[in-house]
Amino acid sequence: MDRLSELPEPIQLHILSFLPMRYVVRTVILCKHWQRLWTNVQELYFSTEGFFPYEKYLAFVNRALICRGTCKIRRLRIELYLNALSPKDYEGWISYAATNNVEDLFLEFDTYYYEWLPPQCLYCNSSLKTLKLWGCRFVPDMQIRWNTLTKLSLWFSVLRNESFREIMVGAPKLEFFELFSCWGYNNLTFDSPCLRTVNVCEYETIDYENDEHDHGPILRISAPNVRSLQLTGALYRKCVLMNVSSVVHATLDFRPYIKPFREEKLKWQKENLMELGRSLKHVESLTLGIWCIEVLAQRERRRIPPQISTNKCATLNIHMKEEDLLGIVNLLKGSPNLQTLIIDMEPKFWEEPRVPDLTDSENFCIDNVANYVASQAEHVKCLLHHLKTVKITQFVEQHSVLPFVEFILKKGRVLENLVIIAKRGLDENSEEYLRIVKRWGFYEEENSPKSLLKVAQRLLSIPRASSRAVITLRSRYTL
Amino acid sequence: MVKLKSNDDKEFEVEEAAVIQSEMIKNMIEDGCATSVIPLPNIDSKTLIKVIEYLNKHINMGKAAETGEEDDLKEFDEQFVNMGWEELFDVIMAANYLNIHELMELCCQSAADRLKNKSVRAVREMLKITNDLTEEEEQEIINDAPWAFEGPEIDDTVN
Repeated sequence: MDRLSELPEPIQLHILSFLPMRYVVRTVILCKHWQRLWTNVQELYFSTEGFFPYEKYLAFVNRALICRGTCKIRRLRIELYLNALSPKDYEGWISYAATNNVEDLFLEFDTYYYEWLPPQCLYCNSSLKTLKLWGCRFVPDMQIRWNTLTKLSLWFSVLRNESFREIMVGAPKLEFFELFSCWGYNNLTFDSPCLRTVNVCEYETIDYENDEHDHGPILRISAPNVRSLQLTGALYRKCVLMNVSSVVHATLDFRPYIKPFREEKLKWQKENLMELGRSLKHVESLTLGIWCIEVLAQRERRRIPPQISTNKCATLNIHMKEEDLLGIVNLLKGSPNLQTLIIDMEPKFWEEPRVPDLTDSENFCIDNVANYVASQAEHVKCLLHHLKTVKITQFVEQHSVLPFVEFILKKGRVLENLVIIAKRGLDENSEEYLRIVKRWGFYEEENSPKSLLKVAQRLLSIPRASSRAVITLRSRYTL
Repeated sequence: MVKLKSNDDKEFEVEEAAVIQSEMIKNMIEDGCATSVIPLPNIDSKTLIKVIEYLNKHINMGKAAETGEEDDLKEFDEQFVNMGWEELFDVIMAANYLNIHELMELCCQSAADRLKNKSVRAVREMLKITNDLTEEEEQEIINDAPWAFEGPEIDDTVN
């Protein structure tokens, strides 16, 4: 008996379900026991990786589906490169999924300026629980019936307001809805009764078929039952939030979309951001991205009073450049109830060039940002009564972080925990490490034991306003 | 505290908050069947120590996602599955028996990662599979389903 065959068959199948089908199918030749096993795998993942030309991949998917027949299948995930001339094999796959009661269907079709039309059987399905579609175009007057669907992700797809309404009515069990770089809509009322999590990522996109560049000047989002709301991407139109009183966690991590070669006043976009902030001032936990903090920093420079919120927890995805300190101070001044501040120094959404601040002349001069920040302590009320935890993750020593930490330690009267988690360097056998060494001849880790020791010493030398404050510095090294 | 006993008669004390990540034990506790020591006849002490290490680390997993400690957990997980095939299969069996979903996923993913990109010869060697197919039978399988063997040949190395 071989080692894998000692495991019960369901476990063997479960292990296989983590592999792309190319490897799963090949187990047919391992030995006699394995000859039929692969057809019983219930979670199928077809990846285009390793197939060339494209026709061979199509043939592979079709053959594999035929060979496994009607064995129970729970999840079907298929990658595909599609253009207007592609054969419509996918229609057969979707109907296979429908007839075999697939619960999780992922159709990751890379389409490049072309959208595919879902066949009829995809609009009405009573076995689907999770559905992810890339690059499809919903036909507006189709009735949608997804009685069992709980998670829906649409990427690069066209969704008109009418189709969106159909989904809200036709998917009564929907809990999670994600729209990533989709277009065609401007009125999103997320009112399916169980819907709790909504992520909208906007990018300026052009509807090639209808040559429409404009999807309406305003995006209206209403989310009456939603608890977690996330708005990301590059916003190219005004966004208005309505009925968001049940939102507990909110994320505003977007930047404005600036049309290339066209100087635009960003004024309305900044105003829009502040308006979104006002709509979300009641949420318990708020996450802000690079551009949002940049706008707050500009307001601070202009001595504009902070916008008040009742947030208890704030998470900032920023690099902690000098200018960011002004943004943080502005945020802290406006968050008198803040208990927890988390700064993640490795922002998740990709970095783009700084958005120019076209009204520089209105700024007050701040020579030394660190001194300025220290001078604002009396206006930061959360330091007196609430701010208990400050956490910095993906920490890299650079000149703006420690002045901020010093400010928190010296002025935080009720601080209990300051946690700093150092960014982990590359492992010596990782691909990235080898690539860098090959290119540059050496790799220097940002957080070397020596530099971390210095940070630790500096941290310990700062006087603390709170006697209960505990400092934790965590890294891969024992210092 | 909950007491667990391995099949080689060693007892381990685990915090209830950690141990209820096991659906099986959680159910036992809820049903009031976990009054003294819980015997685990399918798990030896070496494997149980590994499982408890995992449970203790993941005790506050839900909270970690909120406070940005995922990286720390991710690192732990990476280190955790850094073990030989025998040991990995022992942990998989234990996770299956105790019904610890996350641990099961982690270990099966690791097993799959080790098999990905590997040639048939390499997989046989890694898993100590004795090939009971004759050369003719093998050729027949390939002839019957040439589509299954398309694409460039894959990594032939073990590990």
